[in-house]
Amino acid sequence: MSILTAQDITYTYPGTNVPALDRLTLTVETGEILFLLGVNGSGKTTLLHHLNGLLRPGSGAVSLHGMLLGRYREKDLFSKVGLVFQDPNDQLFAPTVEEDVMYGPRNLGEDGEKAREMAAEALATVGLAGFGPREVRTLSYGQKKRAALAGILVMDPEVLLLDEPTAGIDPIGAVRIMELVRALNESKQLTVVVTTHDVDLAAVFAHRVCVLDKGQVVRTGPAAEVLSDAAAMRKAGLRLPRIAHLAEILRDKDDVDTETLPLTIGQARKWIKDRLGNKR
Amino acid sequence: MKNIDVRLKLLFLIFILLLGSASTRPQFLIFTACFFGCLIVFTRPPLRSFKRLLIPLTFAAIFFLAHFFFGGAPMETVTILGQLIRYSPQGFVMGRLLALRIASGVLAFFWFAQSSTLTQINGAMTWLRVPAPVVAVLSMTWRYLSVYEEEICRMRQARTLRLGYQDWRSAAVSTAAIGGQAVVRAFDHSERTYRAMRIRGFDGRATAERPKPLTVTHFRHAIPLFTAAVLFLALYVGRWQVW
Amino acid sequence: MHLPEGILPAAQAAGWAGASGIMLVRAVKEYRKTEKKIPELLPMMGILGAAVFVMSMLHIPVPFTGTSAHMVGVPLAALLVGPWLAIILSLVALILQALLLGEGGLGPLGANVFAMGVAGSFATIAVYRSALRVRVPKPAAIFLAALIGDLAVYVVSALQLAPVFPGQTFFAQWAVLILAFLPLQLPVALLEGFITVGILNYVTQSRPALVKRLQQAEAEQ
Repeated sequence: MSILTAQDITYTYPGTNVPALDRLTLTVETGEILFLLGVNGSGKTTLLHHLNGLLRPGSGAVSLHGMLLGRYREKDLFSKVGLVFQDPNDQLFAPTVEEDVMYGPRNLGEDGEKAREMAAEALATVGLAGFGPREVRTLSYGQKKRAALAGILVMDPEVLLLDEPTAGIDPIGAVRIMELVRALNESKQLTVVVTTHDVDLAAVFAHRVCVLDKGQVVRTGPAAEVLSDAAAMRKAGLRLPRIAHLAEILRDKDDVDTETLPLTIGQARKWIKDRLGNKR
Repeated sequence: MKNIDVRLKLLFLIFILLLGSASTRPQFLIFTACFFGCLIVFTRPPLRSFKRLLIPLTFAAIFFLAHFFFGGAPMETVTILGQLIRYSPQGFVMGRLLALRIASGVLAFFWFAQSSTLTQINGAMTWLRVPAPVVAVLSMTWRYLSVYEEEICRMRQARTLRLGYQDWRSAAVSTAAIGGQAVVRAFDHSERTYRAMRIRGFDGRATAERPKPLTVTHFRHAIPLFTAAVLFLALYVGRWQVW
Repeated sequence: MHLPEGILPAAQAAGWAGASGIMLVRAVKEYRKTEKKIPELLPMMGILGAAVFVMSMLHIPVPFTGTSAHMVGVPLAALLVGPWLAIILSLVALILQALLLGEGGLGPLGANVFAMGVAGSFATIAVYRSALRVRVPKPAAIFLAALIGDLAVYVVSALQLAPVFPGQTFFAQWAVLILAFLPLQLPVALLEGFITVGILNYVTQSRPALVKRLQQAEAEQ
């Protein structure tokens, strides 16, 4: 069942001629992790900002639970569809972590004590328990990313939009953040939409993938299907997951027989073992 | 010191500053300066923070010397190292008083600044009914100070490496360019931050959270401050002589 | 120039605090009016405040004196957000300068706000608007406004310090203080004028729509 639908939306930034989104249609299914892949300027962030109502399309419509976003009160909409910005410095604007995470609940009408409790819980969820009194400026970039995420999770959204959540973070930190997101998806049925150009991440964590190019959807479908479609991926300026690329080279240059390309290390391990005949 | 509520510290500071500005006894001011000097040592601030005291203490010295040499008739003379120096005894008294007021006031404020965080100070300001826009803007300026310090520092380094600070002319041009870029980035940044605030319920109105009311526990923790305030008052009115 | 802690007698400090307080009440009213027209006003003031504060700490070599100085920043703030909102930015800057740099303090806060925020901002805007009215080219108007605004801060600070400075008459005390600061401050004010022109030129070219919106809000103040 779809939770968010963008129907034929077009958007052009003021002062420009080229549409950032061009008659784009996309459906987000309840409880899925959807990755929006595309190069810089493909329209990923613009689409994300439409999905939570920050931007309104020039034509077309976006709806949540079948109701147009414009019909929702802003506070209701933003508490149902949370958005975490790419740069945590844009999102963390209070001097201390606790004040920042409490900001959303306070604006939703919670009193100070309750908001404080909610903030503490959200910080614990993202692995920042006890960080409340810390000044934001003393956090590392990765910690800021988590704090920004906590600031949105505290509002208990139904849909979580993440704009390049792993940009600028070390590989292990990136995996930890995505594992946290996956855990929230599984435990709370939180619908997650992630924008990135990291196809290896998509291979591990995405249920479905949507490839964007020049403001249009080029390909959408189950992750395994889309990420193996080398032609579509390359046309959109993306590469295959590294493991899949290796398998593709082995297939095309070394005549290794395969119908499907492995996308993750786990799949590649099985793929290699099958071809080696489980030899030691 | 950490347990004393900043509102009570602020009231104590105001009380001491008022006494200091009204006092005409140098002993009182010297005692105030020594008292806060000791408190500062207890807060163990980083050594480099003592640089902040240089400018106001220099001011104190300048005003003392101005009064000492130009404090008005009658003038007297004294020979120091073979040099005849004309000075004003009245000016000496006035200058000494002014310099001690500055020194004691500066040390009192330094103690307050070192022993309180900005978040606590914002809470105290809200409690004192400072308008919410001032507190909210202060809070946000503080948050982004380090971001812009880094950014402007990097811009300046980039220009310095490309010889943008060779003389005062090129320095002025570079500073203007950096300033322009910083302001534009601030505008862009504020648009993004506004969006981030909007999606968390910000409706455009600057608000500030009121701190919890003072309780018996707060007053209990502040007993040392109250004791000190009584001692200061006693010293001020002259009933209690330190020496 | 920031008056240091303890320099003003209590009555004078209270008087200046009262005068600044009255202006601040009006400034907050203008803020509330403006935030309805520009909903992003709070982040704009906060972040701009941070940028201008850091900018004002940059040291610039002063010609002919062999020293370096830094901008006051108030003329720039006044020309960007208008005089009333610049009072709020000045107050914020003074609080931070007192806490972080030891410049100023709580006692002279009212006096410093009056000198910087009130005198500096209004002198800047008065000169700017008057210059435009007599068809002075905009860059020249900005230069004059920033120069006069910068000097106005020091003239008023000297006025505030005069009663505690030795001298025969109030005017003599004031004159001595101004003459003492002028040789150093005039080159700095000239520099600030040039730099402010450069900054505003850059901003107007990069963000004309935003500048127009701010100017409309400022004109209504």
